[in-house]
Amino acid sequence: MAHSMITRRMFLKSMVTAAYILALPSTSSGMDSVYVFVIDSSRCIGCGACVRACRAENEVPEEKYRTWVERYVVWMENGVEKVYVESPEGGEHGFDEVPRPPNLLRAYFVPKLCMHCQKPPCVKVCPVNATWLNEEGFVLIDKDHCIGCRYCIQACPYGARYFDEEKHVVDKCTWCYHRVKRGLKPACVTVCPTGARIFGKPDDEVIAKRLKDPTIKILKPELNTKPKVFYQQIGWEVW
Amino acid sequence: MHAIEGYVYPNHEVFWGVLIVVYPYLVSIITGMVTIYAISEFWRKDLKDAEKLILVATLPFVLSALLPLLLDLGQPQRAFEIYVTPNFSSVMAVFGIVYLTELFTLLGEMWFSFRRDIVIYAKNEGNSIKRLVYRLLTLGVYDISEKSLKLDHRIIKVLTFIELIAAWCLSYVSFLFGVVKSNPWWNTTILPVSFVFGGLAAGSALVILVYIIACKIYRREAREKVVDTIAYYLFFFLLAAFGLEMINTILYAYKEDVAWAVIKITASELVIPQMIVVIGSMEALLFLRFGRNLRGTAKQAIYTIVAISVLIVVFAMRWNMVIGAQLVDYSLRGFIGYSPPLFGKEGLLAAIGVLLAPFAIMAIVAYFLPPFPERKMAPSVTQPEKHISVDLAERV
Amino acid sequence: MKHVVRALALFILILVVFIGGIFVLNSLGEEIYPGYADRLMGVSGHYGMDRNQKELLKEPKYTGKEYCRECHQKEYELSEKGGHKFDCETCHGYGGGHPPKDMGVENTREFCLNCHKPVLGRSDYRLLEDWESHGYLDRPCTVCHDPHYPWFG
Repeated sequence: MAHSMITRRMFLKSMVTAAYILALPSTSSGMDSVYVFVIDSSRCIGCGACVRACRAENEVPEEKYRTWVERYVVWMENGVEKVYVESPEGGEHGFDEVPRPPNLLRAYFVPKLCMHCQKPPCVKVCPVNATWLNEEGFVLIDKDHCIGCRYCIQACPYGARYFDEEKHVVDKCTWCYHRVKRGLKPACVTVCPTGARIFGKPDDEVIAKRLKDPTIKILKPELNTKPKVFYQQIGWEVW
Repeated sequence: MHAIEGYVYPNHEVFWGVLIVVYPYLVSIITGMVTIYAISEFWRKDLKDAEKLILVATLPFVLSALLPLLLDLGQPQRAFEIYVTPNFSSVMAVFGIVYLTELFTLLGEMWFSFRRDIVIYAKNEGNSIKRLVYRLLTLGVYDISEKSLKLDHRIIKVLTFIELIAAWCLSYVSFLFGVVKSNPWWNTTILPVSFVFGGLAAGSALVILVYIIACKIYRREAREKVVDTIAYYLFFFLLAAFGLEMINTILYAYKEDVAWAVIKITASELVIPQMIVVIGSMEALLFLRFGRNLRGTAKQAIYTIVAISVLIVVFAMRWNMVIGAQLVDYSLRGFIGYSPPLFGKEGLLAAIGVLLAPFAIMAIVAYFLPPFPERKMAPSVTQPEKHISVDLAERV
Repeated sequence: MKHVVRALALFILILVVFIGGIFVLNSLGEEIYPGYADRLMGVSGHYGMDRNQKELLKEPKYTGKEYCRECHQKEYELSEKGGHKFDCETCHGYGGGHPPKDMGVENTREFCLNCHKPVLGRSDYRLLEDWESHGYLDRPCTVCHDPHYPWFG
């Protein structure tokens, strides 16, 4: 493995460049170099294999989650759609039966993870540049730089970040950067038995086909974070 | 584990505990004290008697404002990274710079206003260690001619102006919370404004409290005019802070939008701090309004009660802002409960320690730089200018 | 006048030392700060390395299906024929360290039902509607079904 040494000056310089990239409209960051994650909620069976694989691959501490699965149950009551959301232990040990409400409209599982936003609010608030958005669209954390102020956790609207009580730094999903750079898929994508999670560049054949689905959604678009995890077959109730 | 109501993201917890309540609290107190100092410096000469006391009381707060932050950090040894590799798009990194501006202007201000005293002590002090400290503090210049003192005064005015700006910027620590767009409680325009007014109220209350207590300690009479003037400002500051806070809550209650959880926890998890804010503010406002007519000890007692209750009210406001907002999960479908642990780095005892630290430091600062000129010193120096200004102020 | 000059000089001195300190720390690199401070506190870390590269120090544990194929050709081809053509590691756990790491799977009904029980919200990938009465209740599913190709014939 090549450990290219860089000086602080270069580091700062690259941060300035990154700041420019952040400030400029998205046209400047070439779309082809950036990865995206597509999740088809209709394929997800809530087995929790992804959560377990993530925990093993990334040594995620107990009761913290880099990825988790939520179950949405929507039913009609007096003309109002009622929503029940649950995620027992982050869906790690699968889901059990819940009482079926009368007038059930829809029920499905939604895997969640870090959105690796193109305009990440967490990167903007980090006081020491310990987290950044790199050229391939990964938002990473330098754990040897993080001062543990937890400001980024507060800023993340998706609840993707957690505080590692053992290392006293913030951690989160990296889309398995260490695997992707070695030509592998992220651990959760590798183990998904139904292909609910797929990962790649927007011009990959499978990704491109799925991205054309008109039901595709991003979460919390009103916050203008430009997330790069796209969801198929989810209702208005998912955010 | 704390009670969870509704659905919350599995990683959700109260990440910033009671220490981060203390941090904006101390910072807002600094704003209030500096503002009172600026008021006395710029247009209320009747506060002259408390001027040095305010300086002596502000420095400990500025120094200990860093304590809760350092205690809260996961890796405090890397804290200086904020200066080494700063990210200027982060409010927190910018506050590092504002904080230093505040600290240095305050130190400058103190040096220029205590310079005359320092020079006299350096000449007359019996204790050799203390004398050495004073000699170092004089920077080797013993010139206390009228001309140089006048120059000092002009410099103090400039420094006060810079410090006032820095202190208000510091109080916009609320931006630290205000920029978090994902949290409905923090993501409001009123927050920074109500934060500043809360700080002004707490700062002026603390000045009243410290003044009354210091006068007791130094066995001198607390001037009614000083207390009255600060109380006059305190009334309006508190009114504004309380009003804005209430407007915010009422707006949430009325709009009933996606931030419903905010009002729901206000009515459940935050009942006690919310009641403290409402009842405490009402009480303090009433006492301030009618305390003015009292005389002597009764007035001092009333103002002491008011000052303490305002300090508690503002602390409850900060609690609501910092803890309350974090109880709401970003899924906006539920909230969690929070009670701080007693022990540990982020526990209640640590918070109480941090809150008491400024008073301990204050004792040290006051030991070296007594806020009230001692009587026995008066004959050894001539201070015509000062007498005149005090006399003028009293005549007005 | 003299005292103002002295105070200003002192202030500038502090400022220069402070800013100089920052520049020195910056140019000395992470090995010195925060590296040195970390070591004093007993925190270990990797310093002076490209921050993106740092993430690559972590070795993958999940190897992917092709790694299994090298030895378990038969199971690989069998699973490719049917619906269980997903990755081996979904059931077996990660393959990094195997051999000698044991790749045994919990051979219980519950393990299979984790995916095949018809719970609310689960889309139909061979859901077992009669899961409470299907087959021998006291024996694992694998007595009848080959987990790599659970269909008969």
